[in-house]
Amino acid sequence: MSKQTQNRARVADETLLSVRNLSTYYREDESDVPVRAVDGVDLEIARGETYGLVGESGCGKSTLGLSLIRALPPQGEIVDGEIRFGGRDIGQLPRAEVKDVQWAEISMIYQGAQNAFNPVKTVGAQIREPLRVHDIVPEGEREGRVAELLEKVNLQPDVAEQYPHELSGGMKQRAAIAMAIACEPDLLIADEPTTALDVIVQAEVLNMLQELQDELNFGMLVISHNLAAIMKLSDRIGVMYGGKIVETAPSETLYDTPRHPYTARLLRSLIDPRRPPEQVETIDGTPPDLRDPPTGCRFAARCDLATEQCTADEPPLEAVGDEHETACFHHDEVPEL
Amino acid sequence: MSSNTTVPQGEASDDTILEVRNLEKHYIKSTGWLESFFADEERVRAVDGVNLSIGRGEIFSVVGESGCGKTTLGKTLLRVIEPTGGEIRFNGTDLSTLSSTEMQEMRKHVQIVYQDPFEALNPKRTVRGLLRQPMEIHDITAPEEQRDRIHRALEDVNLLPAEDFLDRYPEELSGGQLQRVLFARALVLDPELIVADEPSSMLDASVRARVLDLIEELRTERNISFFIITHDIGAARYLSDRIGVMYLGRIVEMGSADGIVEDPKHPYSKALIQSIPSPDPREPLESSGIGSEVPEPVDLPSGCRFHPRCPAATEHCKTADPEWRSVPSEADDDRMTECHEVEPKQHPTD
Repeated sequence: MSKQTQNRARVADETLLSVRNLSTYYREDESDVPVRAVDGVDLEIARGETYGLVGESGCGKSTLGLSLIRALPPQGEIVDGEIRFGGRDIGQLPRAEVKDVQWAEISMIYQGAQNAFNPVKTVGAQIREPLRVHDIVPEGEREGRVAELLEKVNLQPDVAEQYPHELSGGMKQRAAIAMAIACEPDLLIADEPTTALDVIVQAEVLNMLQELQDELNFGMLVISHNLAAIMKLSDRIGVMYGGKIVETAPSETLYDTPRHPYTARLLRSLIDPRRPPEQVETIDGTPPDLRDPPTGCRFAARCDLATEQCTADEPPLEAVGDEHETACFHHDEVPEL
Repeated sequence: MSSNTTVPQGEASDDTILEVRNLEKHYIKSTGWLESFFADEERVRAVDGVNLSIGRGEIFSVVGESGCGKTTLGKTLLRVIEPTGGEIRFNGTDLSTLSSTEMQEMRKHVQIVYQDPFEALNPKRTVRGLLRQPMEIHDITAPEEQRDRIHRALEDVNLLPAEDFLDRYPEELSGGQLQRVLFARALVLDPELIVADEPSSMLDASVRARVLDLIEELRTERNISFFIITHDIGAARYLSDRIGVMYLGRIVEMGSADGIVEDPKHPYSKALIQSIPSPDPREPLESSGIGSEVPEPVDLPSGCRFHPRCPAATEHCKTADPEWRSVPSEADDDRMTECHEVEPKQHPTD
């Protein structure tokens, strides 16, 4: 419903975030062989748009999110590319200026946010924190603002006085959302917002993110390995494999006509409980070692369509349809897979 | 071949492996010492009168929200947590009558596989050490015997060639491989029943199917019965013969796996199934329509315990306990539920 309205709106709307050739590596020290967690990624998100990033554990999707908000662990480093946001390259901002961006302009619901709260501070004190740091609301009005935020995520005002352990997993996730929208950011990154939640809470969280976006018009990057949940929420999807985006398309297009063998397989590994398949597919093999990725296509070792060309050259991401790009030499054969 | 000869046979029929009657796990909520002088004790009814039976070689799943008591139920079945009431018959033997040594012996036949492979395995032990540990607890110490069982278990969970895995540590294995090590650890004891708590929900979709297929293979090849606890209803339907839907300590509906998903009768089951997102992006995001807060199982409401959240509740539901009864369903013949608003099955007149 609202997704469609935004779809139309997006054409006219300005680009909020533009990521070019981003690479983020992890290494313990200088002598260490780096893990190329994100390796040359392009990405654009418009105001009011939701971009869903999917892929298996270890494909680099969380690292991409952490790079955008500059919250990488000390071993992680942006080694190449640019992150254009609000007229500047935030990938290059000095530490001190990064603080101005976090929460205020870009905020993140971290993976396992349910457990990310400080156990000895009340929920209200923690939601007040970004308001205080960015001095968005005068001190005397902060309490009222916290109550307002809690109401937006369907929590009673007295939750502000409670400690994290007094809340259920679903309530904590909602409190994390309240904190993320506290400063009305332009971009919200949600890393696995529904993982480990049961279906009822999952549906509630997804609906809530959608409603808040309708109201506040932020751009949203949703990161998840749960393809079913993320496809509903997203206007466009990027499929990440071995540190690279291998396919990107509007969610309907991706669902109907995947053009990368990995996406096609991933879709066939889903179980729709209402229409269960006879046999659920598995993708044999394991993702590549990102310390020493293979030359050519990184999915080749697990791919039924792979030829010599695939292990020799790296397939570029190229257009195969309207807003649809894929990085596969054999994208024409994917429908027959 | 199966080692059930050591288990004294009771009156249960041959094809029932586990029979549970009125199982209860109530506990007293701990309050501060000062409060405890003034306040009445609060009784938490985590499991509150559960009846079910599992056939030999059957896969039975319990689904429900977090906090519905399903994990406690799984632990209570094996007396990892002591039940406070009711009966658990395994191969006819009432487990509650067993001494702790006899229960220990019994655990060889009923194994539990926990939720999170990253937490459940000691990171300092190799796969060999991890698989040897349960055998040592159960006095299977002959090196030859241990080696055979380890190899067979690794083969059964498809970690091949076994030699490649024996000396690896958990951190050297993927999530899917760790999950299979957990199953292998249960298999070295040659169990007849495995209780598996969320066996697939921590895994990526691409490897989830492999764990589900493994469970199916173990059932077919070793005739192992499974009691699966999960919030992954898709997996439960794909895998199970029957599903029980649990709410606040009770099974509120039970039927064939296909039937429960296609034609849920209890308003709670309906809400649960309605919330599952279908992968098709054109289908709208649904909501459960019942809110997401599971009340704590203390001070349970009178009447039906679901009535405060139930869209179909009437005045009657607020006072009268619903009866567990057969209800007609187009999707399966032996549907049972407890809800005043679902018409019972008419008994055929002779």
